[in-house]
Amino acid sequence: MPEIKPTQTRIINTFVDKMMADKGLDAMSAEEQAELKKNLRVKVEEQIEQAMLRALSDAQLLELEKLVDDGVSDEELDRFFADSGVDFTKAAEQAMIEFRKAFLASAAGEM
Amino acid sequence: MAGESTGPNTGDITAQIEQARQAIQQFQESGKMMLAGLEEWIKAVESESGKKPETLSEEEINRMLDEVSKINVDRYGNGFSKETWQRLQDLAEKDSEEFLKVCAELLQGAQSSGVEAGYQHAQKEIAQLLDGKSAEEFLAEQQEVIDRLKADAAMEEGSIVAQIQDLPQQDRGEAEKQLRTKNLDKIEAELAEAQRKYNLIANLQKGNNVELVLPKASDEVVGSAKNSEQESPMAYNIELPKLDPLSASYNTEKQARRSRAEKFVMDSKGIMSANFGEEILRRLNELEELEKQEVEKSRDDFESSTSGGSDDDIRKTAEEAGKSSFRTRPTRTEEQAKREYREGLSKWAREVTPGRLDPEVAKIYAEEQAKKEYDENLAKWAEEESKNPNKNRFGDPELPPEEKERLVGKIFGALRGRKPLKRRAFKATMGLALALTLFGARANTIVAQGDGDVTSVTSVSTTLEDFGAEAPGTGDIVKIFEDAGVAGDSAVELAESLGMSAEDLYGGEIDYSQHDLLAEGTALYEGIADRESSFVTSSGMIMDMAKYNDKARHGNHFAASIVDLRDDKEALINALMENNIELPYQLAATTAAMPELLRACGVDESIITNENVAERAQAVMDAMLADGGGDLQKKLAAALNIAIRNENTDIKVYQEYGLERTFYVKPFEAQNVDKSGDIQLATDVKQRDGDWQIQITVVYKDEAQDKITREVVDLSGLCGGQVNLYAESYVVRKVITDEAGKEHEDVGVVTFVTTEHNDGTTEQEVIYTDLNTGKPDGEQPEGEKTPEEGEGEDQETIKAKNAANLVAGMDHGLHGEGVNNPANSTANVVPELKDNGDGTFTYVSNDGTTATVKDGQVVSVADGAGTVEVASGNTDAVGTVTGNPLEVKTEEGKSAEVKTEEGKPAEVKIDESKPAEVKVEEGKTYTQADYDSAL
Repeated sequence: MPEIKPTQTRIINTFVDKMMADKGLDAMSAEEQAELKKNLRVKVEEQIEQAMLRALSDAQLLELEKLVDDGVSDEELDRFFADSGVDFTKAAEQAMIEFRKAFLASAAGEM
Repeated sequence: MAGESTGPNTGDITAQIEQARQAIQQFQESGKMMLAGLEEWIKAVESESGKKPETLSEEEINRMLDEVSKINVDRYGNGFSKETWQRLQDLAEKDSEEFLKVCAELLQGAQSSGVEAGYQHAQKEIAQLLDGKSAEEFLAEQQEVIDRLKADAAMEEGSIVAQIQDLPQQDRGEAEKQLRTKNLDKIEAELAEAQRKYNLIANLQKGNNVELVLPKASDEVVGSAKNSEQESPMAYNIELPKLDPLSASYNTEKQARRSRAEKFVMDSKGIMSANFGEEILRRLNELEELEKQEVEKSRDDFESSTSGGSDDDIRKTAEEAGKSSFRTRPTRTEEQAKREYREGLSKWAREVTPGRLDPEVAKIYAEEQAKKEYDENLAKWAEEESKNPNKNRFGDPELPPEEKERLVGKIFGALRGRKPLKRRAFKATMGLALALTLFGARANTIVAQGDGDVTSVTSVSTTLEDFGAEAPGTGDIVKIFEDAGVAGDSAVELAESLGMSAEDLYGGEIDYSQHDLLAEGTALYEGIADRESSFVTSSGMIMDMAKYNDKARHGNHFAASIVDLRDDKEALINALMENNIELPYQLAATTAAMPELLRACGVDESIITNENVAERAQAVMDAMLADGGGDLQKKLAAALNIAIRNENTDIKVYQEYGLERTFYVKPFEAQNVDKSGDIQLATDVKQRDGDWQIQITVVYKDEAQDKITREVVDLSGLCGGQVNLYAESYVVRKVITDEAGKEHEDVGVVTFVTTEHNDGTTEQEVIYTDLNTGKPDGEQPEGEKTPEEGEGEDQETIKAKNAANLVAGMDHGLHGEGVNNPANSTANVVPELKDNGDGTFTYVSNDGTTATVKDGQVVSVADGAGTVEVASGNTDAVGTVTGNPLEVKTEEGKSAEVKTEEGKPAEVKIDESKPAEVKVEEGKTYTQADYDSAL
């Protein structure tokens, strides 16, 4: 049976769903959980993007800062990231793992 | 400034100088203390002997002579002659009392002279310091300088403390001493000097309450006398220089000159004739009288010339009178400049003086200091870097963690929402999904086989493409395994760390059976029927006419443009859904492209199986106006809402080029709508030129039939989400890779050219002609804007440039291989050409139509409705009737093969002329203009 290849939305949603399930949020109403899910989804995407930036070397960060200050174009940014040699998948992985740890250790959903 | 009194402010200056003179006279008194010491000595000698000393010992004489010798030279060159010196020595031997008296007089005179010189230089210094400013102004400025220097000193001391605090106690003293010599000693010296100058001027305002301030020049005068012990006595003469009577220091200099002359006369008594002294004084009086006359003349000239004239005129008058130092009041501009300078100086001084700052300014100060320190460190780092060009990034000096976080925060703030960052995050996430699914499932097998197993690598590569990742090469695959570290058990560990497994990532497909479509649809329409702009047909179909009547809706467009929402996917989806809910004709056209959805909503199977999508859409529209149409409308809307918001649904925004068939709605009035046929949908062909469009791919999984089905809907953003079909066109999208490795889409047509060589061999060449430039491949002008690729994830599925893409572009009316087929999920493929044996070839395109090619040209297109002759041979066969462009095919996990007849690509020549007239079977001829005007 062929499988539907997951989209990014599916991946993030699944990650958040599983995280919330593992956390156990029985005390929260469905509406609260829906709101929390929405916020977590946004937050984890932000964390991934920030982790990608942190994965850059110091010199690359400084270079990128200059590019940003100079109004870098999308093409230049694409080129910069492509040429960076950074394993962004690894950065995303670490960001998601840390995010999950932090969430599970948090007091979210506790009364 | 004409007419304004701008004469010299001599009165003020004179008064200030007079004040200074009085103050210095007070100081002058203190000089007598020196002589008092001598008198004490004489008294002591007298008291020791009980009587006046008749003779002095040699030691005493030498001591006196030594004292006198220290004053034998002054800065004006006056001094004792040899004769005078000899006379003094003789006197010491012959008459001790007289010797002591003469020495006392000489010492007193010298002291007086030194003090007088000091007085004179104090006046000069005062004049220089004031330099046209009032004492108050100078003191204010000087206070700021003092504050700054105090702040500098405090900071330097702080810096020294910081530098030595980690040193052993016994080393701190020496270290501090050395560090002080760098800057602090200099700063403190400057501070002392600034304070001295401040006190010097401050005395002018204190009347009799002056403080003792040694003018620097005075010290130098005294010092020079002390350091000139060995100089020989000089000629006994005096200079009486003429002074500038209008200078600020004139009175002081005049007084000094007089004192010097009188002293000279007094000293010369007994040495020079009495007439000589009188002559000196007479000449001095004449000189002073002359200078006085000059002052009066200057004043007269000034007063006679100030009835008019500019500042320059006055200045010129003064200069002509020989008053080079004539001062005018500063112009307003000058005053303003000075005031601004002083204000700036004051502000700056406040900012650099932490102790005097309010918290906000202190914060700015601290930030500035931190930035300065950071810049300095950065400069040092950069300098170090430049010395080590080969240093790799792992050897780079690290930024402080807080600085790195600041940079990340700043950059993230600037790039948030930017496509490149989102694209890269998408790839990273998809790579993670790949690691979880592909590697987790197959890692052991593939690693065991190694990179020599091309089949396995190809399989992985194909899957990578399926995930939208960049397709790696053979070696890259294994490297991905190694780098990701997710092979075998690692994948399991990763899954555990992330809390989700490969199985979790699958699923979430659309399953309408789990929904109560009517109930969900009813909720979507809640309140709409009650709107003033809405109407409800007898079938129960609801329509809000507001969007239809919106002036922003152009022509026969479905609705107003939603292009502005292209960067906000959620807003875009909401807008699309709103249009579909309120505009039944849009709902009909959109859902008509989704057979699975129609089926779930209970649409008659005969409608669903109608291969003509235009007819299908009209049938759905009519069904909504027939009995039960209201419920159908609600179900369709609910199902569309489910499909479009499903997490596996792919929504892309991109720019379209080339010819395209599109729906439109014929004009109607609400009061005339109540039965089937009252709202008419139609299609037409339009030229797209970079228009923003939305492509929605909905995926269904049918476990019963063991298949996955994709339905693709292509919508025009400019027309509010109007459904697009594809027209007869040979426009292709070509993916090009630039020097930076970035992929772009270009638009053009493909021509196959066969060249016969003299040796009988033939060579076939594929020529791509860019529609934007009209030039063959590779001749696109530099800087020419290429069509932008799809937004966001869109580029992830674009395949690299290869011959198959170009050949695939020949597919009948399609846009590119597997990329932009709005009809179904089947990858567009090169059709298999069938040799008809009569010099013609035919092929069947994905939409089911059959094209006939002769001599490299498409001569006709046939579908179930008939055959269209392409009279001119133009490949842009506008007006051909498309058959069933929305054929739904299932995915069987295989990509299509590229085949050509006998292994050779078909020869197709593209006529670059304008769209040809198309002759339909009914004999009716349409032109491009007809279609242009149709909308």
